[in-house]
Amino acid sequence: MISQNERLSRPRAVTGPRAGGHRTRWGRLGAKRARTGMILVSPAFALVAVFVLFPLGFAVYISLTDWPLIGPYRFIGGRNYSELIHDPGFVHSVLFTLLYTAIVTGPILVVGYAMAVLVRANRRGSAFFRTAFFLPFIVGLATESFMLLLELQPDSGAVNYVLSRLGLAHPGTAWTVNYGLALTAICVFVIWFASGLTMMLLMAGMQGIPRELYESADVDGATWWQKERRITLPLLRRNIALALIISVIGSFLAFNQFYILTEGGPGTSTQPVVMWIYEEAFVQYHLGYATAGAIALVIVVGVISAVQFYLLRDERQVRR
Amino acid sequence: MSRNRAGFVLYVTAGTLASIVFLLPLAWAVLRSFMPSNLVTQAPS
Amino acid sequence: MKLLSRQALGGAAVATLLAAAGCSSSGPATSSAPQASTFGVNATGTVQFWARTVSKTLAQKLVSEFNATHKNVQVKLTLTSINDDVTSLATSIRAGDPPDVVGLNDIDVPAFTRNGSFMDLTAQINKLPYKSALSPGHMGLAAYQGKQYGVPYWGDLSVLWYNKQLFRQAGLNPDDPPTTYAQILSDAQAINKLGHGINGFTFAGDCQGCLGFTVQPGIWADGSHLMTGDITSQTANITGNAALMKALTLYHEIWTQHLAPDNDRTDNGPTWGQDFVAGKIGIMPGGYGQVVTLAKPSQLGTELMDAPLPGSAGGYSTFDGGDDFVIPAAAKNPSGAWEFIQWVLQTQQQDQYPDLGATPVRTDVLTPTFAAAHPYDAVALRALGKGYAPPTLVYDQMFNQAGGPWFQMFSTAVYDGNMTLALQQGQSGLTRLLQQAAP
Repeated sequence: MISQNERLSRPRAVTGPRAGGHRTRWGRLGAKRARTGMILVSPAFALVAVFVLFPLGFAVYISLTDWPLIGPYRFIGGRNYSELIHDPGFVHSVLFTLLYTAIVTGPILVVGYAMAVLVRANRRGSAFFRTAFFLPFIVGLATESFMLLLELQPDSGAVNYVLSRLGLAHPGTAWTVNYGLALTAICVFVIWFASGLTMMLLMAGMQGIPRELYESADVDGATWWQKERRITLPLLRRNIALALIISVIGSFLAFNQFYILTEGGPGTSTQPVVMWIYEEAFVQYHLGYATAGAIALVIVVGVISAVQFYLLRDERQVRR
Repeated sequence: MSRNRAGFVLYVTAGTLASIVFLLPLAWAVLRSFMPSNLVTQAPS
Repeated sequence: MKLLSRQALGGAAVATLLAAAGCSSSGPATSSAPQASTFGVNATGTVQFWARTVSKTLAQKLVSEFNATHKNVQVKLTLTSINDDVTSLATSIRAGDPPDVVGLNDIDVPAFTRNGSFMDLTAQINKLPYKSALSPGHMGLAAYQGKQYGVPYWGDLSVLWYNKQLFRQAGLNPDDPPTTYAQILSDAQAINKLGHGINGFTFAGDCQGCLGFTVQPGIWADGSHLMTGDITSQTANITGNAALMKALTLYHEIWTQHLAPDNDRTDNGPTWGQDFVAGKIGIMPGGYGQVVTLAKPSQLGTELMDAPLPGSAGGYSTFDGGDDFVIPAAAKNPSGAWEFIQWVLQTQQQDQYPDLGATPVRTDVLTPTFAAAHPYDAVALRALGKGYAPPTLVYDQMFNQAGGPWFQMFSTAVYDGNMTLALQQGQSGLTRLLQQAAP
C-alpha cells in the first residue's frame, strides 16, 4: 500500500505511451537532460563569466569612478556619463564615426555583392579571383595602413604619382593633413579592404541556394536581373544581414587606419570614437571617463545591432 | 553556345581587372620594401 | 536555465564588488626615503630594470657589463613596448608589483612624483660627489616640492645639424654655423639657391613631438618658457610671448620661402632626417642620436656637423630628452637598484654613451679627451648645462598629440600665417589642459 506521502513524492505520470519527459518540464527524463546540459555548458559558461562578464562588470564599475592612470580614485556615480554628453570632443568623434560608417557601408556591400556574383560559380579561375579579392582582408588593416601612409606622401608617394600622370591631382597633394582628402583616401581604402569579407559571406549564402530555382526561372524566361532580385536577394536576406552587421560594427570600432594615417588630424577632425577613448585613457590618463565612453559605445553598438537584426529578420520567422 | 562564350569572356575580363585593383597595391608594397629607404622617400627624379 | 543565469549574474556582481573593494583605493601612502647607510652598497639579489625600447642598445650594453662585473647582484632587463611605458609602469604600481628601477621618459616623471609613486632619493643624491654636474634639466623634471624623486639616466638632446659641404658650395664658411635666427634664414636661402633638389632647411612638419623637441630650445635660449609655475599650479604663457613669436615667424618664413622640401608638411617622424643624411639639406635641427644612427660614420665631421640650437639673437639651449632613473616606492630591491644607478652614472660608463647613440648626463664628463674622441656629442654635452625640458603634468597632451594645442598653434602660425589666432589657440588650449589636469 502506497502511503499518502510516498504518492506525493513520486514523479508524476511516467506510464503510458503519451507520457515522457516533455509532459512536464521537470519530469524524470527532462530533469536528467537539463542537468547533463548544465554540466556540459558550465566550462564554457565559466570562461565567459571570467573573461567577459567579470571584466564588463568591472568596467562598468570603473566608469562610475574618476579612476586615473596614476593615483587614488573615488566613486562618483553617473557624473562621467553626464559629462560625456556635453563633451564636444566625444560628440564630435561619435558624429564623425557615424558619417564614416554611413559612407563606407553601402559601397562595401555593393562591391562585395558584385564580387560574390562574379565568383560564386566554380568556374576556371574563380579560385584565383576569390583569393585575390580576399587577400587585402587577410593581409590586415594595420599593415596596409602603413603601406598607404607611405604612398600618400606628397611628391614621393605612388598615389600622387599615378594621379598626376592621369592629370587628376597635383603631385604635391598632401592627403593626410587635409580633412576631405584624408577621409576620401581612407574610405576608398577601407572599401578595398573590407569588400572581400562581404564577398565571402555572401558567396557562401549564394552557393546554398538550390540550382533548381534558377533553372525553373530560366524555363520561364527570366532575365539575369529578375533572377537576382526575385530569387537570390530574398534567400540571401540572412547573409546580407550578417554582412551588414559585421560591417557596421567594424566601422563603429574603426581605429587602426585613422591612428596610423592621420592620428586623428588635422586637429581632431578625423578622430573616431575608439580613438577618442584611447586618448582620454592613455594620453589624458582619465581611465574612468574613458571607460564611460567605452560603455556608451558598447550600448550604442548593441542597440544598432539589435535594430539591424529586427529590420532584417526573416519574414518567415515572424510569429503571428 | 555563343552566349556562354560571351559570358565567360565578360567574367574573365571583369575578374582580371578587379584582381588587378585588389592585388596591385600589395605587389607594389612588396616591391617598395626592397628599395633602399632613402630612395623611397625621395621625390621621383 | 533562467535560475542559473540569474545566479550567475548575481555572482558576477558580487565578485566585481569584492574585487573592487580589494583593490587599493589609494596609492602608496608615503614615499619611503631609504635610511640605511649601506643603501646601494654591496647589494645582493636581482634588480628588475625596465627600460624603454628606444634606449635598447644602451640598456643592453650597460646591463650586460654590470652583470659581468657584479657577482652578488644581477640586473634583469625588460624592455617596455613603445608608447606603453607609462601605462605599464602605472599598472604595475597599482598592482603592487613594480620593478626595482625604471628608465622612464623624463617628461613623464612629473605625472608620478606628486602621488608618492617613487622613492625619495634626495639624501642619496646629496652624497654624490658629482651632484652639481648632473643635468639640470633632467633633475628638474624629477623634482617635486623640494625633493628629488629621480636622477638622470641618459640624454637625447637636440642640436642644429648642418651640411659642411653644402655650406662650402654655397659660399658659406663651413666652420661658422648659424648662431641667430637671421643667420639660419640667410644661410638656408644661400643653400636653397644651389637648386638640383637641394633645400636649405628641413623639419618634420607633421610631427608634433619632433617640433617640440627642436623649436622650443630657441625659446628657452631667449629666456622664456611656455608655461610657468610648479606642476600643481601652472599657467600658460603664450599670448604676448615674444620669444615664441620669433620662433614661429622663423619657421613661417622658411615655409613660405620654400626653403624646406614641400613634403616636410606631411612628415610625421619615421622618415625625418633621411633627406639630410642623403646630402640634400643644408640645415636640420634634430637629435644627436637621431643623426648619428642614421648617417654613415664617414659622413660625421667631414660632411655633417652639429652646433648648439641658437636663440633668436644668440645664446643656445637644448631639449633635455632621454630618460630619468626612478625607483618605485614599493620596489623590492631598492638598494640593488641604487647600486646599479650609481654605477651607470660613473664616468667610465658615461664615456660609453656617445658610441651607443646617447649623450651623457654629467657635465663634468666633458673633458678635452672626451671632446676630441666624440666631437659631435661634445656639442650636445656642452649644451646640457643650459638644457631644459618643461616639468608639467600635461607634456604629452600639449606637445605630442596631433590634436594638441602646440601643433595647432604651430600649424596656424607657420602654414596659415595667422600668428594672432595661433597664439589664442595655444593659450586657450594649454589653459584648458592645465585646468583638466589640476589635482
